[in-house]
Amino acid sequence: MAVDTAPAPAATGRRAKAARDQDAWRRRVPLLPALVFAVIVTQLPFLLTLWYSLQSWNLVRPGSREFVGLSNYIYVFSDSQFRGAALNTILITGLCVLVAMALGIGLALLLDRQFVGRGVARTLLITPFLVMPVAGALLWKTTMFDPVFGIVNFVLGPFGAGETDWVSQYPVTAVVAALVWQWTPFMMLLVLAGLQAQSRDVLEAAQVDGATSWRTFASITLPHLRRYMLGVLLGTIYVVNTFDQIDMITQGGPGTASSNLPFYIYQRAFLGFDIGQAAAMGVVVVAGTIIVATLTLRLIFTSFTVEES
Amino acid sequence: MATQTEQRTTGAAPAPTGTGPRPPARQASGGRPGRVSGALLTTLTWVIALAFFFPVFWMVLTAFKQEVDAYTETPKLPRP
Repeated sequence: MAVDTAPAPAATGRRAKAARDQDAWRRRVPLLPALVFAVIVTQLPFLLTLWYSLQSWNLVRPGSREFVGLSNYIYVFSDSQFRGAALNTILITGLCVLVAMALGIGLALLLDRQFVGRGVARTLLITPFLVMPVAGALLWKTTMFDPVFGIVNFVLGPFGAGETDWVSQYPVTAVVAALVWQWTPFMMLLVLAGLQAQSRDVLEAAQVDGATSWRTFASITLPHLRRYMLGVLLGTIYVVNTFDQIDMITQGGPGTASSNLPFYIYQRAFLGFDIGQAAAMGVVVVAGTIIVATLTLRLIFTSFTVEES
Repeated sequence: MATQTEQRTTGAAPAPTGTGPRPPARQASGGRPGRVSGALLTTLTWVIALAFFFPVFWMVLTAFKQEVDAYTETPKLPRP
């Protein structure tokens, strides 16, 4: 297209631009229904939430709905429980994503080899990701972490650790364990794809040059895998929104020891019936997630361009 | 010639996760530890894979149990 317009004289330039616009719109129009649908489904609820967040609106007190400006936000930022939930969210998300990524890299390296029954082993390792989060969480709470009937205590019993009530003594650890179990396969899949996209020539060249396998891994494979760290971003966005595991395993408890932001918002909205405050919290969380995601994306894309140059 | 055998031995046990390279001088004895560590890695992979799959396996097993046996202090296998 640039070739077409470049030699055109200035007089016809405007007409060419109009034609180009028309052409562009002819391509865009078939996409419009999807765009309109996406806007209706995603952006309208957000605007409505913004509107709700500016109101004092408790469902338990009918007729109490009134416009209060930003006071909900002031309340949210001075709420120590909200801050605790935010810290918990950061802790749970960070631990889960980092541990899952580390395990994922290790497992992907193991699965990248040629060995007996590789396909079966891969399928077995991917399975946790295919289990529904609620079912997985229930599974961990009842059959694994249960203080009396749990498998974890049954296995640890001979080593003298059979009396631990994991869920109430280490609530965050229990939630993170279930989350890591669920998310490791996801990270593993991404890293495995990255490993298989690695060119064999480079590895062979390193071997010929006499590089140790650790050196090869640290200097060639890890830099190559950097762009697959996109999994960290995706995982972070998903895990920040974790609700199932918290609700099923600990109910945010004991007290508020393991409640994260989605769970706290749920409590405010559907157990406290405070729509205004819950909406304000939702807006704050979305803003925070967008900021973190943008920073991470920029970081990842910067590393892309560094690698390419 | 030497490079060819080198390639073949490494082809049998791909090195990226292996324990280390072997100096070409001790090539004959070098193939041995490679195979052993390969078997070790394979075993490790299988153990981890089964461990990861175990909760799901247990869930499936519980589905076939009588209600009394589903939740016991010492885990039971389903009765036929």
